[in-house]
Amino acid sequence: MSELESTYRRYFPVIREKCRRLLGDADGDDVSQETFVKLWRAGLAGADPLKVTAWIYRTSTRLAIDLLRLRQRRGTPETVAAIGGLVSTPPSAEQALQTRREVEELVRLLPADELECALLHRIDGLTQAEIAEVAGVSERTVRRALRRFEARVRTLRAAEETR
Amino acid sequence: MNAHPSYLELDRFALGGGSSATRSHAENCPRCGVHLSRLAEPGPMPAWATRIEQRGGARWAAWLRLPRLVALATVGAASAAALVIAVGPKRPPAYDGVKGSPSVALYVRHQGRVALWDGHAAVETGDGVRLKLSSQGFSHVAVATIDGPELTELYIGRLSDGETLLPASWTVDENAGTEHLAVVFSRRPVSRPELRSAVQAQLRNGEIWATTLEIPKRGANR
Repeated sequence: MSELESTYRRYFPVIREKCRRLLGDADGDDVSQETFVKLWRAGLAGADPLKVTAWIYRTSTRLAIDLLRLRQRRGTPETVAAIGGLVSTPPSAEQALQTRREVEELVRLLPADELECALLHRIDGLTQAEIAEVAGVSERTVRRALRRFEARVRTLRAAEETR
Repeated sequence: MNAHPSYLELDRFALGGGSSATRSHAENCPRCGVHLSRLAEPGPMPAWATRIEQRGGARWAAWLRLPRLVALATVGAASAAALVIAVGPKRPPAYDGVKGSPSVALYVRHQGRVALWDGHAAVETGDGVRLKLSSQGFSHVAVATIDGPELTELYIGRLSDGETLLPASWTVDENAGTEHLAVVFSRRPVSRPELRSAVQAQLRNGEIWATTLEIPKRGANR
């Protein structure tokens, strides 16, 4: 087995599952591929798995945000479907639609670093300490970003209810 | 409060890390169990992945000091120090060690040809180096280089029963000298302080087993 193949077998499932949680299967697989190619070219095959997994979470999340924003700028029909993948296990169709609308709006409105923290927290279930490690920022910065995110969600929900 | 570990923690657990609490949770949680089972299914390597190797191989910048060399070392159970066994050209490239003890084989790739280290020859700039381990019941391994007081972790992961060819490999850089390569077997993931202590003391007991290979390098920079 070549080094490339062993690296693929070791890390690609982690990348694939991470990206599918965030984007669904189709777009998730595109971002998975891009993330793995970057990992290989960065020479991370033999690095500490703790560092590699942090790198995977950081890189794939940022690539996913780039993809979502690109879709919005182009206004393609896939936007809603892509953002729908952000809802990991919606408890109901109504809530899924609401979350989809929220995230669609948030992708457009939020700064990338704030969105990154929110996605890592909401979709991947990372603790604040883990987000700080992955994003390379302090826990205080993460707390502030998540507070801003929650405030924006509350504002959006309030606006929805008044319509 | 979310009772599940984060996906990051689960992923690290699957790669050989994670805490005992994560292990305990994963063994009893269907949702986390499903996630871990998916991680065990890489599937066949697709064409796009096979093509990227043609555009340049991986290097790990943190360890660019080894010359080309293929080494075979075994850890003797009764030995106080690591035993490096030279493998002659007529000897088959197999493990050699005391029964019941873990063993470490170092392979060196030089100009496309892979061989076992003879225990003495210097490796050269650009050589690739890779380890094959026989766990003998130890479930985890950590590999690190030692440069004076500095210990740099190169690889941490789980071991399967029998022999394991580590997925990691490293490229030797141009610096001449001696590379001190520590390999630590354990029955659970070890922290960095534990790893350092095990290497310094060359611990060998039922829970942890350490050895250090000293690999000469013939680099351009002397």
